[in-house]
Parts: sequence; C-alpha cells; structure tokens
Amino acid sequence: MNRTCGALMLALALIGSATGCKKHETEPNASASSNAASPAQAGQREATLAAGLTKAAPFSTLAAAINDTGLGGVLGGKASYTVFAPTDAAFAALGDKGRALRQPEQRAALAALLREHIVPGLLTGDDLDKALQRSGGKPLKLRTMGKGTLTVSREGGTVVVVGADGAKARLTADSVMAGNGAALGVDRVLRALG
Amino acid sequence: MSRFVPLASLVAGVATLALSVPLSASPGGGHGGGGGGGEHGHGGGGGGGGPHGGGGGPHGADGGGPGYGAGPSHGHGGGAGNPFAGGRAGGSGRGHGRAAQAHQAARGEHGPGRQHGAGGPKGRDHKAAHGRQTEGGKDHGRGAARAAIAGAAVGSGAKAFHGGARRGDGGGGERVSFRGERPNLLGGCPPGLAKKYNGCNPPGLVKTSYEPWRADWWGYPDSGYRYYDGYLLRTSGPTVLGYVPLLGGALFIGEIWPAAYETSPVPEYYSDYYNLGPDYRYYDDTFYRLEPRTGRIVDVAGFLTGDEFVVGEPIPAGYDVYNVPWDYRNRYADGPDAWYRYVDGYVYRIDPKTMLILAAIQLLT
Repeated sequence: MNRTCGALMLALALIGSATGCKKHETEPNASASSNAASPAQAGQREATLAAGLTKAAPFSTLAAAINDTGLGGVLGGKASYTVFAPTDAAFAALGDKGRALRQPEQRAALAALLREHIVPGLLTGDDLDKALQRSGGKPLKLRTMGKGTLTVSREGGTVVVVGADGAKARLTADSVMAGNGAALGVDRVLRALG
Repeated sequence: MSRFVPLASLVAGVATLALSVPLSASPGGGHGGGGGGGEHGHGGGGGGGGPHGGGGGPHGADGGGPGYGAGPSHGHGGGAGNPFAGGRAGGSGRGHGRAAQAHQAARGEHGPGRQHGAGGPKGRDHKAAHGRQTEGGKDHGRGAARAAIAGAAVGSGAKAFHGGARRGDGGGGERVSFRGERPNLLGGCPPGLAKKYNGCNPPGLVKTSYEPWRADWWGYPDSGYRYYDGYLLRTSGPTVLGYVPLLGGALFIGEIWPAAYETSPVPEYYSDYYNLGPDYRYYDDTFYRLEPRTGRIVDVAGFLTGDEFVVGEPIPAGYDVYNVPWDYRNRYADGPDAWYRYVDGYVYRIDPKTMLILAAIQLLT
C-alpha cells in the first residue's frame, strides 16, 4: 500500500469507514502517460517561461516586449501558459507599425497584442500534432488570454496558426519549454495592425 | 508529486490527514451530492457529506438555508455552504452557503454550519449548483468526491464576488470558474488627462484614425471607442464621454491603483493559486499585485480566460488541445474515457463523447 493510500485509510478509519484505496489504484487513467513529458524533456526545461524567453535567441524582441509591458510576472508565476511566440523576424516584419507599438505610450496596445498570443496551460508541438491528427483535419480552436481565439490547422506539412482577425503565421521549429509553460515559435505576429 | 490540498478544505475534520490524499483516492461512492461529497463526506458544501446528503439541490442560487445530510455518522461534511456543489442525482440538500462559511471550512475552522452542514444564510452572490450529475454511471464514487472538490473550489473563497456569477436557476450545473465583469466604463475624462490635454481634448482625437490599434483588441466595438494614452476612451466626436483603464497603460507597474476602479473580489482559491499576496486587484481578467501600504501596482500576476465552466455543461469553445501542465500530465492524461483540459488553475475532466464537463480539479500543491 502506498503512503497516499495509507493516509487515506487512516483518515477513513478515523471517520468510521474504510473503503476506497483499491479504486484509486485502478483508476483508468492513472497510468496513462502518452502525454507525459519524457525525462529528456524535463531536463531541458527552463525554470519559468519568462526566464526561458530571455535566453532564447529568436525571441529577444518578444522577451523585451514582455518586460516592457510588465507581463514578466504572468509568465514567471505558477500558472501555466503557452505563448505562440513571434520570432524577432516576425516583429521586424511589422515595420513602422511594429516600431510604433514599442513606444512607451503604446504599452497598453502591446500588452493587448501579446495577450492574443498566450493561451492557458501547456501545449507542446506534440500536443498540437496529436490534436490535429485526432480532429481529422478539422481546425482546432484555442482560447487566448486576450479577447480572441486562435485557429490551428495543418497546411501541407506545416502547422498554421490564425489569429482572431485573420493574421496568419506558421509554426517554426523554435521553442522554449519551461516549468510553467511553453513558447512555440511563429513566423508572424497574430494580430493585424490596422 | 502533486497533492490536492484543497481536499483538505473539504475535509475539515480530518484536514491534516486528508492533505496527502490525492483527489482520485477519495472514494465517495454514495449518493452524496452537491456540496456534499459522497459517502464519506468530503463535502464542503451546503450539505456536508452524508450518504445521501449534499447540497446542490435544485433550489436556486439564492437559496441558502441549511443543507441536509451533513453526514452525522461521519461528521465532517464541512457544512461550509458550498454554493456550487454539483449535486448528484438523489442529492437532496440545498447547500448554498455563504462564502464566509466556506472560508471556515477551507481553513479547518469550526463554523456554525459545520456540525450539521448548515449552509447558512443566503449565498446569493453565488451561482448555485443544482443537482446536476457530475459523474456518470459506474464512477459514482470518485465522481462524488470530485464533485465536492469542484464545489469547494468556489465555495472556499467566494467572498461575495459578483463578477460573472451566474445566478442559479435551478437548472444548471456547478459553476467553477470565476469570471469578472467586463470593466465598467468610467464616466468623464481619465484622471490626469484633463490637465494633460487641455480639458480632455487630446490632440488628434478628432482624427478618424490616429492609431492602428482597434478597440476590439480590448473587447469593445470599434465604433465610438478609441485607444489613447493608456486608456480606451468612449468618445462622441471630439468629446470624451468615458474611459476604461488598460493593462500596460493606466494599469502599469508603478502606478497607484486608482480608487475609482472597482474590482471584483475573487474566490480564495485563485488568490492562493496565483499567489496574489496580501493586496491585489482583479480587473479585466487580470490579477494585479499591489503594495499594501501604498496601493501601488507591483506586478501583473496572472490572467484568467474569463470563460465560464459549469460541471455538467459542455466545455466552452477554444479548448481543443490537451494542455495540462507538466506536473499533472501523468495523472491527467487524455484517454478514451476522459479528456483533461487546464484552464485558470483548474483541470477539467471532459467526457470525450459529449464534451460535457464531468469534474473540476484544483491544482494547489
């Protein structure tokens, strides 16, 4: 009997009943591990997403934007998030509007834009692949921490992400895995700027 | 290792021991419903956990009053007035307790409702749980336990929160998530802007489009709303009618939280999970930590989706991909009988066939 079950038995004994451990032990999904992280993955994780992004070369602009908008606490906390992370090239492609967005008086707009790239929980590329496979080609919807929804689909061999207003990006090979989430690189910003 | 501390909040009488009991180990198994937590009374709700007890009866959101089935034989139903307990079929209790009592259960204190599962006075700020089955068929035992956990998730800290709380109508399941109201539009000119911009006539306001950022970025219609200098302004021509302070703008680290900006208190679970500290504000699905002495914003602590999750109802759109955090993936892995989705500090158990939410699981460790 494991320690957990023993504690349960003790608790139940105190309250005049004793059932339940076996049921726990045979819980159908308890041993499923198809989505579990491998030890190798675990070894590659940064402590937090905020910290990991600052170290990842393709995401320096994003990391700076997160810092500028004060969102480091969100991505450095306990709660898990996944960022569809525009690469530096993706931000550069915004041109003048992108540069305007980085001005201090536009921080609120930048924060709103970043929220549209963040979804709750931890998603890996493998999770997306499995979900796409399971959906049989039907696009997947992902609620963002902003006001919109991202749509994920596969075009040829590429995973494509479309923002709420139609801005479209492709998933890149860049990623950051952290204890509190992940960043999956995208080659465009998922918001149309005017 | 993950432990489900919130269970302790449900098992007030044996809190210490129960701390090490994983959620799935709680057998439940009876007909305990709603706030009740199954046969063994891990219920924190309006009805404790008597074999047939449990709150969550179909009595509407505002129906406080005593819960039934406090489980006298086991005597630890919590009685804390779990307002959102997912009543199981057969659950006859009401169990719409008041948040304060739920607090007591969560802290292992001995509130007045504790012995008998009295839900206490009105829980009118809560959306109630209403006798919806939260686990199907053969899995009654665990289901009851999880239902109780889900219920306590809200009850344990639902300090008269009002944001997005759907009032019970006797027909819904247990609402677990918390959703704040959309920020109120505050009348007049934003503080400081009147001086800064000559009687609140900011330069460029009359322009048709002076910024590429659209109001729908913040969930407002483009017509009549404009972004300006950290605010979303409600305008009529050149006149500012009102404003909404924005994250990163008026609500930025270092700024003092303006008293005029009302916020919604949140259930204690969120406060704990997001480690909000002694002083915080929740506004527009965002948690802000404040320095208690000065009221200055010191950090942006987290986001909520704002989506509503009700046990027994379909999961909202937008959760098509498995997304459980690392630490819980071994325990909550998608399988043929259940899918799991993480949202806002909870893992939701989903029926893959119906996409109904079967249970909500807290993740405090």
